[in-house]
Amino acid sequence: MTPLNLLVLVCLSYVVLLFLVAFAAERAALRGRGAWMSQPLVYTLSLSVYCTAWTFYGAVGNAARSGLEYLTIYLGPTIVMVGWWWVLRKLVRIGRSQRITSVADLISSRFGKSNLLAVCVTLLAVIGTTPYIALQLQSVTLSFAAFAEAGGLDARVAGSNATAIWVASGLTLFTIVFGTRNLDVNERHYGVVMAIAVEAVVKLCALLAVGIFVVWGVSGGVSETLQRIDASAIGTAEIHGGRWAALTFLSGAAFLCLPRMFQVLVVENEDESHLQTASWAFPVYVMLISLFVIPIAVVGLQTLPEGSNPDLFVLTVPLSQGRDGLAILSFLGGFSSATSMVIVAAIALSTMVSNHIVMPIWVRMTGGGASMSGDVRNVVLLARRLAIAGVVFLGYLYFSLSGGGAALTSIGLVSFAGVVQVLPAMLGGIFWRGATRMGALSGLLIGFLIWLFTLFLPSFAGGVFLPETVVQFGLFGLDWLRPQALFGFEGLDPLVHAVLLSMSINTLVFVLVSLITLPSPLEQLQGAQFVNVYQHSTQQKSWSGGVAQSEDLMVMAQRILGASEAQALFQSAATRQGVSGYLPEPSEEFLAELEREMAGSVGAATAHAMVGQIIGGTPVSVHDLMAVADETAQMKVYSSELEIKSQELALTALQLRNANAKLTQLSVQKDAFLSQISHELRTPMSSIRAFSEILRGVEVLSPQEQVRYASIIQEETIRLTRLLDDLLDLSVLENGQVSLNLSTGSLSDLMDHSVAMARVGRDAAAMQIHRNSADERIWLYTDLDRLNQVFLNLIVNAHKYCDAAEPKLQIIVRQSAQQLTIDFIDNGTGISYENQNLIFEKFSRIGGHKSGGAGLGLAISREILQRLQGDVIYLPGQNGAAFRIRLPESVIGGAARADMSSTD
Amino acid sequence: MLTSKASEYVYLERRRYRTRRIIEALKVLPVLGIVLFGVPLLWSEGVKTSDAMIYFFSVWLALVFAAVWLARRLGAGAVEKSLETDN
Repeated sequence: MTPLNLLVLVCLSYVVLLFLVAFAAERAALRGRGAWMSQPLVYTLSLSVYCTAWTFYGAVGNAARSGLEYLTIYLGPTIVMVGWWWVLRKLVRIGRSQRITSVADLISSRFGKSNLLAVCVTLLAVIGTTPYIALQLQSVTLSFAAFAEAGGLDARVAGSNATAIWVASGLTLFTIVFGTRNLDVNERHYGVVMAIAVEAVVKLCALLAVGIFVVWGVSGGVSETLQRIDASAIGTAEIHGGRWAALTFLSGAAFLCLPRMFQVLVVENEDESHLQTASWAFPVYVMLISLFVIPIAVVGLQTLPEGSNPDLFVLTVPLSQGRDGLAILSFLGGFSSATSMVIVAAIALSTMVSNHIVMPIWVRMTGGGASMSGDVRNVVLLARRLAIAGVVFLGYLYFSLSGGGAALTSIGLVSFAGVVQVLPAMLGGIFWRGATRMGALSGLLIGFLIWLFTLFLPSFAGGVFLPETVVQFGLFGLDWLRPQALFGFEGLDPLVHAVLLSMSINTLVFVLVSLITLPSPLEQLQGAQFVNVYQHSTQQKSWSGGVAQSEDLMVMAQRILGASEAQALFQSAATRQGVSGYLPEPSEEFLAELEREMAGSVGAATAHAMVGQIIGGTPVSVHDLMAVADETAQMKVYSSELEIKSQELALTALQLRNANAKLTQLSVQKDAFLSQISHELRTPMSSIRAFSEILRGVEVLSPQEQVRYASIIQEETIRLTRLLDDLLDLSVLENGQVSLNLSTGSLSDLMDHSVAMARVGRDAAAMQIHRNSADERIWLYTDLDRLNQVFLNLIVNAHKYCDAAEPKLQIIVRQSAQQLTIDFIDNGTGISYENQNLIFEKFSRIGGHKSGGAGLGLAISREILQRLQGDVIYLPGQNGAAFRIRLPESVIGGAARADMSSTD
Repeated sequence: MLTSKASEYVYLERRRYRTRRIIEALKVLPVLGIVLFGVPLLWSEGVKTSDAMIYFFSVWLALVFAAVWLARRLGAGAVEKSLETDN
């Protein structure tokens, strides 16, 4: 068997193994037995997707050309990982609490869920990643060709596009099968992560094996190797300050910004504490990866013929030493690096493309109505699958068009410089509340343009996109628009020049525009949630869906229904609940409604499962969400609450003041009454006592005198009894113990009786009483004695208090459908406004005690009428004291009989 | 009873104090890394590659050991504990 055939066999077996591993992992996760996959080790190994074929093969090539510079590519990520507490921890926390699916999603979510930003980031990512995928395809093709050469075959045959096509197709298949197996809300891919972890082990082992072979097998030991290094062409460490710093920064920034790194770092993160382990384990990994790079490069330079491609030393050194097995392992390492990168990059990019480009367009094209039918889930999956195929195909296209030449080897750093344009918006977004959408957008675009002009376009040799004249003399012949000396920055390394200019201008524009523009409310809310993520989420809660359920539901509903429909749905629900803004309480009704809406798009079962997944935790109120709202909003809420409270307090205080005034008034009245009543009691008592003493003590009294004194005593006791009767009467009425003695009688008879009784002992001419006897012809069925008591009281009062020169009393009877009213109006001065409310109170007496009453009459009258379902009120504005008695219609017992009797 | 309560309190306080210092150390660690990896920028010409390699890998190893030590000291529930210190 030729080495090439063996290689193909091993390669195929390896691919089958990867499929099996991924399949087993998916199955285990589905059955809930995936705990062993949630180890920090797996997470750390999945991070190794950073080490692509470009670093696997290219690091040695780079070392052979420029010595230690290759280290910078690993030093940057090492510093970022070691400093996880600063940035990574926050990114991961935000990613988990906000359910971020990609770097474009992060930027767009932070800046008010702007799809324009997401589209920009997605395009940038696709442009930056496509050449990188091409690079992976090239490396596999080249390594295949190297094997073919060693096997005596024509390298051109094996190195043709056919290899690239096979690899690209296989990768597409794998990624589609395991990357879009399901539409997981969390966007996690257990199978893929597991396969990546296995590949990470394979590439590390491969590189270590080659390294150990080179150091101990070829060179003969550590010290010999070190001597060999110093004796080689790269024996002197030449460190270019600018490039060193720029590359370290670039690799560290790219570690955060590369779509595939964001995918494994943030999106696939299972547990925040894994970061703690990865913070040292990943640096160990990259340290081991880079440990033998220099020895391999040196041995390659020394043992292989002049002109060999240093990028393939990892492969060609074992081959030239006749170690085919080691070479195959090394090939698998390179293959692993290439495939893992392509798989993860394709997943990350397809998520971005489908979520931010395809779905918005599709929703718009299908009318975007809430009533749209069809399975959106299938549309999303199809979009992802097409996007994966598209991304890999783009990579292949790039590879075949560029001819796989040397131009590709420099594309790795060019690609890095492109994607790190996201960095200012990303870091600004998570650390600075003042960052705005416009700022992020303008910074990103400016940085992207500068990168395109100064680095990306000039990287194509031979002036494919940018004519040589432009490179030499500047755009439009303007000297300061030369791509590699923009704004007159001359003498710099092209890469350093591009990174320095694009990043600094990007950051500057981002900050300046953010400072002068105003964020929208949604942006402010998102900004607060991102920047203060630690205050508003704890780890367990955020993932089990307890912290911001409405928010989570919104995020999900937007993905399923489309942003505007979901927002309209949420807003209307919020309005119905009386909540302002877009976030209603996750009440049962609302959840049911949301589920229904989503069921129309993804099927009832899926919708239910999705809502259930989010609502599994403890209920959350919008107040929690309000807590993260902008401080001004909080201040507004507080101040309006305070305002309402102070209004309530003022109202209560007013009521209390009124009650207090009334109580004070009543207390004064009571005091006055007590002094009055004691006076009332004392006067008759003293005369009774005086006359009884006379009767007893004075022996000689004429019979006339005896009778006179005795009758005085009797009158006084009657007065006393009447007073006590009144008090008793009132207390009986008030306690509701009175029993009504209902009977039928004529109102006019009753009134005659009352008037006659009132005139007993008074001069009949002292007051004129005007009555209309026709109106009074009404039969009543009520307690006539009690009613008589009321009439008597009112007429007597008029007698007593009317202060007119010629006192008159008018009694007006009116009958309506609902009630009977009887007005008693005299022509005196009436009762002042402030006393009108008091006259019906017990013990109240207006105008001193000249009248001799106890002030109980009106109180008793009112009590009586209330027993009779009626009322007595003071009628103001009648040119005198006026009282109105209202009786219900039910008392009018026999009007017909009254008519009959009057005709008799 | 009283003394045991007091000692428990002191113990908790001390642990929280330790956690904060560890977090501070974690924050300083990358700065230290940048400085140490930046030292070669100051080298004058003619340092042997083998010496440079030994320097880099030593620093690298030291950073890793420091990170391991801090991660261990921080313990499993560190992220929750950190809530008190993050503002």
